[in-house]
Amino acid sequence: MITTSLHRIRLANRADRKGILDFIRDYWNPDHIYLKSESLFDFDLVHGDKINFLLAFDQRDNIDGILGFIPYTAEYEESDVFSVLWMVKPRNGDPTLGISLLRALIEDMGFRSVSTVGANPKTLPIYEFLGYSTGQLRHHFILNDQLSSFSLIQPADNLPRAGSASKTGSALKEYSTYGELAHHFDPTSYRDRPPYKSPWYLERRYFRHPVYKYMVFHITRNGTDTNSIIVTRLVRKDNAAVLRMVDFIGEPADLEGIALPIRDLLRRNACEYLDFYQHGIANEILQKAGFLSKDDYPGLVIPNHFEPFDAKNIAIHFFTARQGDICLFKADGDQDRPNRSTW
Amino acid sequence: MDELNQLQEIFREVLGTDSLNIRAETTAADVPGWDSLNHIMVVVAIEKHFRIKFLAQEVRGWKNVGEICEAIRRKSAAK
Repeated sequence: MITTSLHRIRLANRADRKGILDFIRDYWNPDHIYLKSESLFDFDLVHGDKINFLLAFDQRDNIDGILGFIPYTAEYEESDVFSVLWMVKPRNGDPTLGISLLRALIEDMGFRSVSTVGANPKTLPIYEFLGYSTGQLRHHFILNDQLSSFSLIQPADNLPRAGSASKTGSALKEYSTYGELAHHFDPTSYRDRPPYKSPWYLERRYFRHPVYKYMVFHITRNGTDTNSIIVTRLVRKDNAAVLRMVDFIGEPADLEGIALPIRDLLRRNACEYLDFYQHGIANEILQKAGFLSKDDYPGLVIPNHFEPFDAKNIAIHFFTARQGDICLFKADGDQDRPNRSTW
Repeated sequence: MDELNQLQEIFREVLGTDSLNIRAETTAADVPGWDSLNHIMVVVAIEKHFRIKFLAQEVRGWKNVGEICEAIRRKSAAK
């Protein structure tokens, strides 16, 4: 429990569930997906007898501010977490209540690192004033080189059909259960590299998601296992489809040459392209992987929002309180979360 | 111009309201739009205008405009 002159801040428990949802309705968005699907709220944020929110209460016990978080290990202690849903009630009397919530999350919860993917660009000066790093994910893509026309990516004319992927003998093997994957991939060897995605997190997030079906691929080279995986999700729009590569866990060098098996995947699934938002992987590796960078093609539009579809480029901003290198991807935090309840 | 008047100009510029009048007793609850983001914007503008620097923890304890003026005076005197 943390107290300020006007508020006390504490971790939420199950008894706070209704208050949090009411706050989201009243001060965030009355059409928020968590109000339409409380089961999704529970999946994302209920954690045993706790709810992954810090709450700020006024002196009458009304909620004046919320800050959610998604931990990457089952235990809070030393977990790397991503913050979500940061909001305070207007004119609550303390203009720094939002900052107090953020500082409490970063300094008082015992987490190893706190980051956000999908930060509101208006909030970036706050993070920067507090001394944290901010930036923008870079957007990369691989086209289906057998298609002559595209409907979702635009304008597609004059785009090179393929980057210069190294020939590394890379292949992708899909696993439909975490148990099968675990025979070939050990995430615990990356424990010292934040954000560490534990087996608990990976199984829940990508194999037991209540709405999205993710395809998890293990990377092999010339028939030999690597200790790297990619996570993708197929998204359809009318008669077209794309693959979103939303996560990568492993050694970045294992991505080299991956465009070749990805193009096979695109052809098999009749997808126009695969796109990949990331921060932290060296350009040289991504080029050897065979990715093209959206930034190299002015005017190119690669949509990010499909629920509903919006044919616009979207910049994804991040902050991290970690001092040092960090790799971030679209599925970190709540950026790859369903946004409508019509599934 | 004393600190309060200069601070009023800063608040007006950050919040985009030319009619805003602040007093030493003014708190965030009295000023629409004085939220975390604008608080930081005000702090950054104060730092630039008065050529002083605040630590992150220093900008969290101010209860009203008068305390901000006092902090500016203390920092300026210590330069």
